[in-house]
Amino acid sequence: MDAGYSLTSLARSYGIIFVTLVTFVVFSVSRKAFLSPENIYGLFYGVSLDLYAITGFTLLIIMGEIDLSVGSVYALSGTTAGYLATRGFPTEFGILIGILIGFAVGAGNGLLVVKLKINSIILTIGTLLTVRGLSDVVAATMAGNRYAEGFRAIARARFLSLNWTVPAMFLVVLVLEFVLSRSTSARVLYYIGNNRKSALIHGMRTDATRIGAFVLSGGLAALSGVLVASRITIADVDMGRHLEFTILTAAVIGGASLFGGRGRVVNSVVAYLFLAMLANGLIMFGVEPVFQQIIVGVILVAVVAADTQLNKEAG
Amino acid sequence: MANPILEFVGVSKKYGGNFALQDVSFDVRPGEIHAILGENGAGKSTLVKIVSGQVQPSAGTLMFKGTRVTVHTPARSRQMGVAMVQQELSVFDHLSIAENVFPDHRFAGSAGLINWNLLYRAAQGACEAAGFSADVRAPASALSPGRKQLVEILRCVHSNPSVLVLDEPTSGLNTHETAMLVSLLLSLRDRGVTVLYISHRIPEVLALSNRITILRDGRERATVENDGLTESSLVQMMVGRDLVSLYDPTATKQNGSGAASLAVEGLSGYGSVHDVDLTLGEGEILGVFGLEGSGSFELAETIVGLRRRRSGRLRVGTTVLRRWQPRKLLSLGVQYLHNNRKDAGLYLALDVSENAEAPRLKRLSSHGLLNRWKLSEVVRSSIQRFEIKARPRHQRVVNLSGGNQQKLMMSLCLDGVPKCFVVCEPTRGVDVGSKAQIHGFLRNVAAEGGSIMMFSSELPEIIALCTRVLIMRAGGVVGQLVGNDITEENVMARAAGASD
Repeated sequence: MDAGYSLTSLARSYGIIFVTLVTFVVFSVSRKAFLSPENIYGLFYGVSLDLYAITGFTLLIIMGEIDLSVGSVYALSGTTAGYLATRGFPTEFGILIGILIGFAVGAGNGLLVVKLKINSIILTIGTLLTVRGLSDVVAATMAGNRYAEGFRAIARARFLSLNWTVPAMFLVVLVLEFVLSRSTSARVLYYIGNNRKSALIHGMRTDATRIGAFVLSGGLAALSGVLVASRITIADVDMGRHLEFTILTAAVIGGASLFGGRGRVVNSVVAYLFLAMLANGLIMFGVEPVFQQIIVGVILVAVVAADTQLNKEAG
Repeated sequence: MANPILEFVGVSKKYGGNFALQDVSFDVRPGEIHAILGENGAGKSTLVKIVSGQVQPSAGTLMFKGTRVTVHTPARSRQMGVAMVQQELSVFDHLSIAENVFPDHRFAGSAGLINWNLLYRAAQGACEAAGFSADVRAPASALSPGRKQLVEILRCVHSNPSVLVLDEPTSGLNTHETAMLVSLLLSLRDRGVTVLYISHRIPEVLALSNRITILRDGRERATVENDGLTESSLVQMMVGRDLVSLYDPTATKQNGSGAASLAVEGLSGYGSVHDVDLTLGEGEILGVFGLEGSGSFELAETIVGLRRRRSGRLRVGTTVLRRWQPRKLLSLGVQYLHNNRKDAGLYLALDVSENAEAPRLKRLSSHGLLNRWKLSEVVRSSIQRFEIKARPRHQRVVNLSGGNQQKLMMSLCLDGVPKCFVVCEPTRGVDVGSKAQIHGFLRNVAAEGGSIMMFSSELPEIIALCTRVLIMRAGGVVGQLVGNDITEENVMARAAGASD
């Protein structure tokens, strides 16, 4: 019983890292183009921009809630920030407004979920559609236009001859790992995710924490959106579409439970890198994106099935 | 004498290293009401699960009508004509009462369509025969928990079983409903149905059964004819020597010093609690008793701030509160033990250590970061003090025994001596040994000046520990008993509304 438990937790903690390494080796050996420094760097750079959205999303999952509006918030915030900068407002002002939009949507989600006791999946599907509509309006206004020079410079700023977001990613993940295992306010997320009523009985601020986590998720999705908009040069109507499902897939492959109480930011990030690597490598094998989604879907189902089985055996 | 319909031959069941049942042998004769009597944790539920095929015995065999049953599954058990009334309610809330009584397609016509008139008429008849009137077209969610239980029993009865198994069927019923059930079972016996009746309530067992098997600590202590038995002789067999130490009437009871440590004034909730006033003295153990549906646990949850309030004030020491949540009360020294550890009070999927740190996050941290060294120290001493058998870093709480879970849950509330301890069902589903320990912990709290408000549905427990008992009915406090007036008869009479 105990051996099963520790084996299970071992698989959950390090399984995704192992799988990612194996995938990396397989692609590296079989496709020369995959191992090129530009290709590898591109993968890491991409993940380093989405990192913040993944983090916020994972924290919510740990707490037993879900925010499906991340992709839409990411698009609205990024596009709005770029739009304002292009319209001649200071770049900083655009960024500020973009991130405030994220916080505001997050606060709306949190208040409705907590105060009106609405199921977060249903509610955030609503916000997903609403916010996507707004973002489409902004994107249509910008259609085909390049973002202002100053705005595009953000994601391209360099640190030690790398895009600054790449070293920032390693730092952020390290700090988060430490904070999530030791900080009392982060532990509260796990307790709420495991049993909210118990957490309330034990004197934790469950309502405030839940609202706060939604606000954070919105704000972090906005931050990632601003960084990505800055990178893509031209306003894009499809920005962040289906991002929520990719992140959700990554979180689950990384060992998070949709019932809450389980999950690690670092695992979600590694799993996201794994999905990016898979897409990248499969293209080199000439696998069309249409078929790629079949592969990702099968992997997701397999992981969930295996996890459920492990859970059963662990009692 | 007829051949037995069911026979247990040397049946054992082991969970981990512990025997839930050990070498149990007895038989059940056709057409009798056979009671299985035992304390919580005596192995009754395991026995039931073996009969219903949910659990396989580790050793021994189960014989049905003289043939040995191999590979016993729930489906196989139903085929043999065994019908189970479970402890947990499994009523379909959104379906009508009629559909709950007859969930199969018995009233379907040739095209597979249900003949509703026939269904409603049959259900109406079934309810009336059992002695309760209800609109069978109404959804089951409208029923009280006790009535839901009766509906569930009716469903089993009408599946025409050869053996009807009832696991603690009266735990959710009031006196009137219990009487209805008793007469229903007696009429079933007259029609030749065999009834296996699991209970820890001696009076019912004496009133109903032909024979009684007594289980204690997983072993069969005796199987006796119900002839000339008395309550005390059964108690003796059921509890063994432990009885004296467990419910010792001469054990010191705390009277309290008189100063109020907690007072509730005009407290009303939404639906289940109306206009409650009560005062709890320092060092007092106050009992609160109410039957299912009386609102007693709702009152506890309302007092500690887990439920919404319509009106009312709370006084803790000299602090008067109009708005409060558990967090606020904890800071004033009011602790709460939830009535159902599977629902709340623990984190079942986490390990013992993580559970132990949850209510102490603030105390075990500096600058917002957990102090792991301090943590393991606190966990170790707490586990020792409460005699919890567990390996803190390696065992998930869900894998602990009921007694150890309950002691762990209590240890989370008792770091020091709480000013006031609101306790619900402190010994729900624990073995006899843990029960005595838990009562010891509670007595200690009171002896050291803490006050306790104990909500329990176990009258013997209330009688053993409390000097004053409040009785609840229909969401209000309807009576109070003090000292020697606290007897089962007096409390039940008031709780069931026989006299005020």
